[in-house]
Amino acid sequence: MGIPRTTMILVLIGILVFTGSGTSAPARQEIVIAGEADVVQFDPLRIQELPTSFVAGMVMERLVMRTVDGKIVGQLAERWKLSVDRRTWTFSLRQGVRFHDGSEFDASVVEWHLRRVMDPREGSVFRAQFSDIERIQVVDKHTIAITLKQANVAFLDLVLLTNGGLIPSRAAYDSLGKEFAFKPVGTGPFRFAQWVQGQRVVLGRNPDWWGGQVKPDQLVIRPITEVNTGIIELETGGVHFITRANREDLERLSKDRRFVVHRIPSYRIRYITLNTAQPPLNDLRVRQAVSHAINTPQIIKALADGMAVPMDTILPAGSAFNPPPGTYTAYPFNRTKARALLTEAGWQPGPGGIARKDGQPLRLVLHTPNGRYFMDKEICEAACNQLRAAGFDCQVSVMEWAAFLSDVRGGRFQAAFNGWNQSTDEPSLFMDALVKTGGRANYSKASDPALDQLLTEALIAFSEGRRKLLYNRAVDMVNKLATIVPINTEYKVAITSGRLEGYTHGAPQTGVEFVNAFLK
Amino acid sequence: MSNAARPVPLAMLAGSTRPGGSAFLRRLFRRRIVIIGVVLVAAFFAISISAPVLAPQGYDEQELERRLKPPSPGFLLGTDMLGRDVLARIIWGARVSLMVGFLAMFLGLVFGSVLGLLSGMYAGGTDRAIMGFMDILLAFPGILLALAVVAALGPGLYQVMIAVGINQIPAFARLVRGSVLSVRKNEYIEAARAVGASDLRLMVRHITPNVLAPVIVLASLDVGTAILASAGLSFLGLGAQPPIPDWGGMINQGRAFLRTAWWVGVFPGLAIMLTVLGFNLIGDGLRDALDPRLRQA
Repeated sequence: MGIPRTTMILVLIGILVFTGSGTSAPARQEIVIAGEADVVQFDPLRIQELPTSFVAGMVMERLVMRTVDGKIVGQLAERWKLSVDRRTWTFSLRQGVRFHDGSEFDASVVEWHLRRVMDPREGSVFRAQFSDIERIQVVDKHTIAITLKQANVAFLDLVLLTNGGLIPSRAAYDSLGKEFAFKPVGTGPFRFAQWVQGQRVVLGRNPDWWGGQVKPDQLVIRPITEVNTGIIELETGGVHFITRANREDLERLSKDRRFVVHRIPSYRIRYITLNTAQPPLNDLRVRQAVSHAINTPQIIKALADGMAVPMDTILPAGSAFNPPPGTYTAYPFNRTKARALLTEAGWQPGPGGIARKDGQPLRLVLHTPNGRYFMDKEICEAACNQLRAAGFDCQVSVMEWAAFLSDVRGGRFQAAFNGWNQSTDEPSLFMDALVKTGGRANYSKASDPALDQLLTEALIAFSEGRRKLLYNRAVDMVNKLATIVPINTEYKVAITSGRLEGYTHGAPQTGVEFVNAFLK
Repeated sequence: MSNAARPVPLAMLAGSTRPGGSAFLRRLFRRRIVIIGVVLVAAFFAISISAPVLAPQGYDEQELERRLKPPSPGFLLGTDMLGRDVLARIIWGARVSLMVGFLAMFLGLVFGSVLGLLSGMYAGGTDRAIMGFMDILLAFPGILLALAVVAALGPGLYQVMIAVGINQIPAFARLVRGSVLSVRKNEYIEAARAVGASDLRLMVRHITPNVLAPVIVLASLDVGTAILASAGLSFLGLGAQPPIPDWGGMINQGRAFLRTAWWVGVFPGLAIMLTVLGFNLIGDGLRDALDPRLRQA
């Protein structure tokens, strides 16, 4: 007993036809991106790291944005004007824009958001910058005027282009409660769909985006912290987009026609912070010895060639605000000089080449995260090795990211490998945060009133030539203090599957990189 | 990492468990494979002891220009990403791995044996309390328990030793308790008790020597387990801090270059494999040599 063979074949053909195998529905456009780490939370007031700001910037938008070629253009503001006294910025807002939850975007939302960033009860990490705002005035439903306490040439960069400038839905804030930080609602090209901690963030297309059609149906951002795993995933088709590869793999992938390597100088600096509140680094000569003992160009060439370039100031390599070579204090690799500086500081050569003072060895612990920044642990290992050769009893302490941040922010470190990412080389973004007294990332705890004065002056210098001059002097002053050891400026790298087209690569993080992306 | 005690036959406890030296060695080496184990372990011991002679340049001599060089007459096992000699780091790393393996095993052995002894000697509340605690320890997945310990104490070599050692305690405690329960029924124990021997004397003079055989076997097998477990923790970045070479950490570093410089990760992996194999072969040999049933056969 059985079904005749002919009948079975006809039934199978029927199933194939009616299940649509013959109809060619367009393939769902799902682009999978390897994130450098998992996201943390999405309340713009507390976004401080790249993986989260990368995702948040596609869901939420600012009044202004930077294009891939670095120009500032309107995003949620169509245009703006600056008053004659250069203190009041008046923004005309884009009309007809709605948040993903359907609520309307208008001047009252902008006012609410700015006041929230400035409210001490909200615990915003950007409050110091936003406190430059003296008055916020809703002129009409689509116009808002922001008056500053004093003119600030870098207002757009220092305030509106920070993560604190991302504008979320007020309706979502009112209705979601604590969930607000974990379910971002904005006006951007992609809507937040899902976050499975440690596994993926899923964003869906916003069909009503004011900017036009968004091509991908879905973006899936998978946190892949380990560089090699990301490469394997790219090669096996698990992801379409990665941002890191070690030197050897980068060379290999550049020659492989199945992949496209995008590379552009960026504004992501890596440096070692020396804690001036901790001995022996409270002694300027010891800090200078550290700077002379590390052969940064050699380390970067060996470990990060193609992914980073060495730098010797606090500003990104290639920044127009860096002084011309030879006109500022620098610390080229010079082990003899490093040892001489230590001797001058009272540290005499001891057993095993380790310097000693009062019978105590010259201990130095270099804290580093592992994989947070490109080759962070390896760079620190190499630097520590060179420090030992100069007389330091250097140890690397590899720390889990949260513990690392806690120790660095709490001042519980001697030296630490840090990073600072910006979308432009606007110098105030680096200097005001990293070296100004009370700067939000001034972990070295250094304070120089003359430097502070110079940096404040630079913010109100509207002449480009004058600004350059002031920042040239500031760079030199920072190097004289030797509170940071500049290491490298990372390239912004993206290695994409050859199937991925329409992705736009630029130094700034625009939030619209994937709007026109699609898989062939 | 497994908490499960290896199958150490309690039959070893029957009759005399203290064989004469030469007879014991004959039985031990009756299986040729044990010789391979002894040679492997002895070789790694010799390497670790003579590290300053075999690799006088130390484990941290860095030359960035010669990074990721493949094995060659100058660098027999190649160089790593910082231009350090992989062979020199494996030689110095042997010290770290053997030390962690032995000390972790020793920690488990001492605490586990004492707890097992007490538990076996004092039935009732003490037994229930100790074995209840051991059951709790066993209920934790080994790696999770070790991760929790390292998370509490911070990363580092000694922390890993403690974490792995704690993980080994229940296996020893259970084994010793079982052995004690078996031995204490023997007439010579009752005789000793009848002539007034204290509990302490009973434990030290009469019970401990008679439960040693299975403990020795478990200890020899556990060194390998401990080396493997500590390598696992180091692989996760919780072990020795750079630049101290530790085989697990070296594999982790080599992982990033597996397809472009395989030698960085593969050779430390081989070192771990051979060491653990050596200890396991010795452990198996000891078990067979000390098992009276096999002896009679």
